[in-house]
Amino acid sequence: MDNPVLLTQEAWSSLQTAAWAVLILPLLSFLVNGLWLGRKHERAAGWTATALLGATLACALHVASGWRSLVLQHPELYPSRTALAWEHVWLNFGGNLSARLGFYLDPASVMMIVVVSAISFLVHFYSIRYMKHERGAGRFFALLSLFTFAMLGLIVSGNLIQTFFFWELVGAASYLLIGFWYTKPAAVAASKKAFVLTRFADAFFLMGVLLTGVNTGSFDFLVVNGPAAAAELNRTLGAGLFAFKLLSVTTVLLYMGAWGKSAMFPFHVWLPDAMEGPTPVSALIHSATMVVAGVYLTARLFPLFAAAEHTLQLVAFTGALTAVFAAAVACTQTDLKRILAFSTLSQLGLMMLALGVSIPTVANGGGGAVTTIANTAGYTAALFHVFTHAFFKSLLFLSAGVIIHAIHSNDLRDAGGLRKKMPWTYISTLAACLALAGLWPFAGFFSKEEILGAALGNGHFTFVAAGLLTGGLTAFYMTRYFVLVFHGSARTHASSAMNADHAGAAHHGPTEPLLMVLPLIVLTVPSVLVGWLGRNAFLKDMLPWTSSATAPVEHLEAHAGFPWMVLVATALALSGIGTGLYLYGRKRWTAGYADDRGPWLYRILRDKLYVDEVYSFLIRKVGSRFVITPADWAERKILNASFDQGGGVLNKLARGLSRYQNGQVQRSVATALLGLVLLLALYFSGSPLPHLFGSLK
Amino acid sequence: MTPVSTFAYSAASNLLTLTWALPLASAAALALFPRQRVSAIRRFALAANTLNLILVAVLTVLFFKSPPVPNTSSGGTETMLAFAADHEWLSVLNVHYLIGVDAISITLMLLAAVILFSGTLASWTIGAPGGTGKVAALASSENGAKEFFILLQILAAGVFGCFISFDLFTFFVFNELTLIPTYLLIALFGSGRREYAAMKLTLILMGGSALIFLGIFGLYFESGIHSFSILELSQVRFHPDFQGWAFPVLFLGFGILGNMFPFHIWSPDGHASAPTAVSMLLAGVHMKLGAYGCLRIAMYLLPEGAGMWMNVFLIPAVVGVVWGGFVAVRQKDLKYMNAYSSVSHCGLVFVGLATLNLIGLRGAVLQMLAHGFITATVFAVIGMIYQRTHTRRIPDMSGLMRSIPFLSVVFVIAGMAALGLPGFAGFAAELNIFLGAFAAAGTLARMGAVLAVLSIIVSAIYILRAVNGVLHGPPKENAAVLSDAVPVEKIALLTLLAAILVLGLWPGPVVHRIDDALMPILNNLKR
Amino acid sequence: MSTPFSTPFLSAFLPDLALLVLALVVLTTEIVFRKHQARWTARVAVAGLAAVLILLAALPLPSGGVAYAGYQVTRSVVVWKQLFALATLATILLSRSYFRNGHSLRGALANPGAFYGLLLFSTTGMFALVSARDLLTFYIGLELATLPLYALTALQPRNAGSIEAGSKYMLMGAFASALSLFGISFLYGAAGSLGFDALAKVASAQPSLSAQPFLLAGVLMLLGSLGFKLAMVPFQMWAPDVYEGAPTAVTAFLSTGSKAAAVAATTTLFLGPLNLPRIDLGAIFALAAVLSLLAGTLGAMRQSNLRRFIAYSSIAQAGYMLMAFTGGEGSEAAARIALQYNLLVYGTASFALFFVVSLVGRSAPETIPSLRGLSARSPALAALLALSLFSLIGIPPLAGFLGKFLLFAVAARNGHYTLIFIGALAVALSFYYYMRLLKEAYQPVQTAENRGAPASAVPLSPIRLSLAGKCAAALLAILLVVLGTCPGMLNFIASR
Repeated sequence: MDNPVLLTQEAWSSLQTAAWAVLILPLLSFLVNGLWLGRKHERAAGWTATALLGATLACALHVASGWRSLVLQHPELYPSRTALAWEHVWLNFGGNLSARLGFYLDPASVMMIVVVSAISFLVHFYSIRYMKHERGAGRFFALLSLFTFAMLGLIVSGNLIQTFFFWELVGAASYLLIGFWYTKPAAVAASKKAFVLTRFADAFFLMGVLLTGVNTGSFDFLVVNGPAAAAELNRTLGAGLFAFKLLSVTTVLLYMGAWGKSAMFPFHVWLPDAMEGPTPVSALIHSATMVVAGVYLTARLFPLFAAAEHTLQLVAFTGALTAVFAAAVACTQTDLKRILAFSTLSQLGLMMLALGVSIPTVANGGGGAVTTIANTAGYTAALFHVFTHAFFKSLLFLSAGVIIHAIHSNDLRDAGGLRKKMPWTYISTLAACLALAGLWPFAGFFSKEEILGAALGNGHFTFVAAGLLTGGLTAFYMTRYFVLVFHGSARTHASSAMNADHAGAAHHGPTEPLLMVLPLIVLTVPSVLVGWLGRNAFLKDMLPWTSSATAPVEHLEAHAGFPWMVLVATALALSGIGTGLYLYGRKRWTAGYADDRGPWLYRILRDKLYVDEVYSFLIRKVGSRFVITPADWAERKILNASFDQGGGVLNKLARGLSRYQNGQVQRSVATALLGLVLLLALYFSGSPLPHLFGSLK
Repeated sequence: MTPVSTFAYSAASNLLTLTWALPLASAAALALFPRQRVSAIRRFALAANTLNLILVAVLTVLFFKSPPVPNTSSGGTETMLAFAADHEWLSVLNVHYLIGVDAISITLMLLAAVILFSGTLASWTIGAPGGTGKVAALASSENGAKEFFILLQILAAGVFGCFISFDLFTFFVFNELTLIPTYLLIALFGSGRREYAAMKLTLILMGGSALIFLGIFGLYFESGIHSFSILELSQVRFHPDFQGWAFPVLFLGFGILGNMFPFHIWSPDGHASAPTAVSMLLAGVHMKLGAYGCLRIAMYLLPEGAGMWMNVFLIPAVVGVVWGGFVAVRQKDLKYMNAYSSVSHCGLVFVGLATLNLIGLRGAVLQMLAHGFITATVFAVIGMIYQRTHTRRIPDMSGLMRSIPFLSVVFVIAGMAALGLPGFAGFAAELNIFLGAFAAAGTLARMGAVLAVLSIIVSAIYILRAVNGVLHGPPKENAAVLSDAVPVEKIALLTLLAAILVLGLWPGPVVHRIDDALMPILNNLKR
Repeated sequence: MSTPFSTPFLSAFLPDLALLVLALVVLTTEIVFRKHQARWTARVAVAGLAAVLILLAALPLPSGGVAYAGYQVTRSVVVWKQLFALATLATILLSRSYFRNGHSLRGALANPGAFYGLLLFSTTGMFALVSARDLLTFYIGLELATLPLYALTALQPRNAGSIEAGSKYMLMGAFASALSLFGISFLYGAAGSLGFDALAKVASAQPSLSAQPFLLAGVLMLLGSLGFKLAMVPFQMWAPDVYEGAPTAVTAFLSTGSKAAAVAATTTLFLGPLNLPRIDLGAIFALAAVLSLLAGTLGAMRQSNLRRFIAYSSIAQAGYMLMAFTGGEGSEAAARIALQYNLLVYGTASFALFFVVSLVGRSAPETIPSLRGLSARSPALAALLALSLFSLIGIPPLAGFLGKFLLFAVAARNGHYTLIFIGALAVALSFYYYMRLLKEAYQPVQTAENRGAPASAVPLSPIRLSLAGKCAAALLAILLVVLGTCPGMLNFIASR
């Protein structure tokens, strides 16, 4: 078993300093802006936060290069490409069980800190202009930096407790940012929905964490992912109908966290609503970073999941379901950001699918199941897609932000004909759309091919079909989005006024503010290039640390065997684009129906399969009526009333006594005599009654 | 007689006595103030409580700087006391004034001192004309402040006395000493159905005291050594029959004080009616006396009884955790919401105790501290919001974030802490409790653990409901006239938040010493 | 055995003789001081009682005590006598103002000589009661202690309630006397002697109760007769009527001095010669204690008349004190200490309560609603009321807590845990009914809450205390706190 080596003292280097800085700089930004700057000087807050995040990005890049030269180039020291920059014990639970705070470096985390800090930096930069006229911009930047800090902490955690720690923090930051416009009831409701729903999943995640810790004696990924931990967990508990495999239960519980955070069906409902937050937030949190945390977590625990019997099937299944479902729904939405949100869901589904299809062959060794992972292509593909998707999806959101900024509406039906007015946005959105559609040579093409190849290589034809279908639908809805926004003629007053009258636009400021377009242009580059630039690096280095050295070779061979798949996928994407152009470019169809009309399939998809309504029913009718209301009733009418009733009984007794004790001498004497006689009689009869309150001895 | 073990600063035992003598003396001094001089009265109370905070802080620092206790992990069952002192008090009953602290009591004392300090600041407007809205006539007249602070100081004296007492009689005396001030503070200075709430609270707590009383007598006479000393009684092996009935009696008695389901019914009404500082002190500290007694007296002295009964008590504990959350979801009054959330969180303390392992017990102690700080903060903010809006009903408020941003942000932070967000004290405590429950033997404990973990969903629901309802949404028309927190209030809240954060971010050192203090109890449970 | 003229004999009996002489002197002062007779009679009585107290405290007594014929004096007996003398002293001080016109709504008291004289005769009876060594002396003491109280109860001739109470009290008293005479004669039949020593020998020699039904019947009848004095269930029913009808000062004496005498008599008999572990008297006392607690608690919940309220509260207090008799063999010393200490603190609290009642009763009927607004009229008086009530409930650090704790400890010693639990519950409930008084006292007068009562019906004038009144209030308050926190007095009683 390879152990990660804590970078030794002589190696204490700029890498470790940078690793500290990666966490501290965003935190500093949060504190400075939240406690002081943001309240007084909102303009300065934006620039300060951006500067600090720029420094974070520099540090992240430094960490990456340092890791490359110190760790990756020294396989003899770090055979698993894994190292801990530093680690401190936060809380000890006795034995080896402890919660630690560390900076864990492996291919996945290095990739993620670079991606997150880069996108966060760009989003901060973009927000300076975007939030210029907003009230509470200082708070906005503080929270955005807090989120970045939490996300980076989540990425670099080397154990489950630290993961959970930051897992919750990103959730809280997301909650606060979704509800940034707190006077808007829709935003407030969406923020609550997002937090509660992910919290629901997190409760199970926490259970999984605790079960893992209790049963394996460690929270560290390195131990948990080892064969010893899997063997320790591989027990059957209970009996008969209630028998369950501890390993399966634990891994499914752990996956629940990912399920909620990555918004897999049916926990997806919070993500479209989360679009009520400011657009930069959507770009950072709800497309590129936080929502992929679930995928990242599943990848982190991949060896453990792989050891369990059915967990990876579940992962693949939820992924495929979400991918197809969300892509279909995205075809019918009319809200710019919601289309992108469903697209994100769909892509997250693909990532999960990729992880799930890496189903290992399980060979039974002596004494217990010994797991070997035969083909980790899906793991690599999932993280590769995380990487490429981050760039073009955040680009799409940021460009949507520019559009919304210009036309003051989120609605597809309000946009149209913006091509001439917003050339930079047009170009960059086109690149992102093509990347998302998965056309060569854009970034999405490569990662999608990897995913499909992995599924095919492992013989999961159903999942391949799901992936291909998703690809076709994606190409279609992105074409729809693109054509309806930029082509055709202006459809509303806002957009036509902007087209017709330049003075009106000047009144609102420039259509494409430089500070907002700059990040778009910067992001266009990776959206086009990272696919073929990054592919080989990913195939070489992005492997789960327990995998054998032969895995990548196998993978490459497996992929080479299916060249026709590339053609099929591309053909599907092109047909999707063609259909989109045919239907919307020729104005055969409009963006959507204004009312309840339309074919039944359209209606069902537009209403998102009524999942929200099911939730509403479960919460309002079932939860409230059968749980909360009875509990509240019992609290008032049984528990509290019993106290009052007790008082009432005493009162009645007291009334009876005072009525009996009416001051008549005869009654007094009679009572006394009766009592005395009764006592004598009882005593002589040997009754136990007089001893009612006697000694216990 | 077992000698009192000391390891440092025996002269500091006088300082320990001062922690309850100072509030009491200040109460006596306050009685001499002319009642019209409201400002002087509260300044004096603040000075006394600040002094006490410094005193307890110094003692805490001294305690934590002193070397750790030896021999605890090797099966020792004797609690080692710091700053100990022992004087005979009532020779007729062999009652001693036996004081000292271990890590559990000193941290709880710090909790009390911080909350008392903040509570004094939070009740700054008591007695100010029109300050507290429609409270009792006494409070709105200029006469209120004097009585209020006298009673508050007596309450504080009782609380501090409890935490340092290692003699059951003295403990009981201090415990009972808190009852009357509590009653009067709620009945005279409260709001809503204050007399009903105060009477209900006191009667149920006195019912609990009756059980404690019974248990203490049992310990005294059945031990065969006629002693009230916890240190001496901990070395006695009581007959299993006696433990079989005395443990539930004592645990229940303290459990009632500790807000255990279904005896929690005193707390929501009581907390909701009490004035801010009293809510803070009651929920934050006084309630902890119950859990503290469960641990220090019932479980430490009757370990076999704990073994017999803890699975039984796990059930109400877990039910309370879930129940409190469910009922909190439905509350419209913010104080009731927080009171039911306290039921849930105090349930977690008992879940931790019921695990009977180190992690769970430590979690229980941490949860006492965490819940103390957090609930006090929430009550403080609610009180301050109430002063401004004159309502505590969630539906009557909206969008306060815009008009009173500071209070609102503190409310959000406290809410996040209450729902167990990592980084705050509540998470460190809950993590230990859950882990201890999962590690505990028995299917029941694990089922309880599952339910307890699921309760964090419910807590998110009711807290976000309150936060969203009160702070977010479109602001009301009259919101603009509200003024944000004044410096005094800011100090009160920031002190509490600092405590929540410190405990949440660096629980390690505290936990280390708490573990030392728990070892004798644990070793007793294992024997 | 001392001779009648030896020094120990004198130091033992001198206080009793002095008290008897004092009673006679006070009866005749009326003739000497025709003018200001009330004041001078009181002065003489107070001075005399102070002298008696000094004698009791100062005269040395051999550790074994002194006994002569049917009379004995031991150190613990002296403590009883000190308690009685203190109660009488306090009653006299309390009653002085009642002889002035306009100081009570119920009218002024008359015949100070008779009043104080009867009071002192009753005290003399109590002295004899605790010093008794045979049943005859015991009976004489009991009657001497009780008979003057009938007269005292009826000593407000212009008040119909007083007369009615006096006659009821006397009827019930006659019944009690009959019971005790029956009991004594049964016991005489069983033991063949009236002496306590012989009685003890016979009682402890009986193998079982069925062997001696007369002994048991006698014991139970005597218990019943003492139950009247104690106001113990089922012999308690006279108490509310008599307490209500009697002049306030007499009520105070009934609930303190007379109660102390009853407890002392019960101690003398049932922790003395009639301590019969074989017939488990502890169980009977436990039963009676529980019933008394119940009756007292329930009764006190609904009263509005203060003196009726106090009657029920004293029934409940008797319940607590009965718990001390359940300790069984070997608990005699602990029980005596607990009872004496408890009576001391109970008496202190009661007099504090009566002190407040007497001042409130000057301008209003002695009812609970009359207490309304007391905190505004006199904060010090309200505080004294609070202290006294908290002490009666048994809230530490006030004296009542320690008193109850000692009583419960005696019961616990013999394993009466159920009884203790019930007792502690009764403490909790007593909080409810005692707080009714305090709530009124601290109730602001002019609020929407007393909308029923017209504002004029509530006396609002501030209550001003005289210097002596202030001193008395302060002394009582200090005593209530000091007795609970400083073990000195308890140690003194325990050393006797």
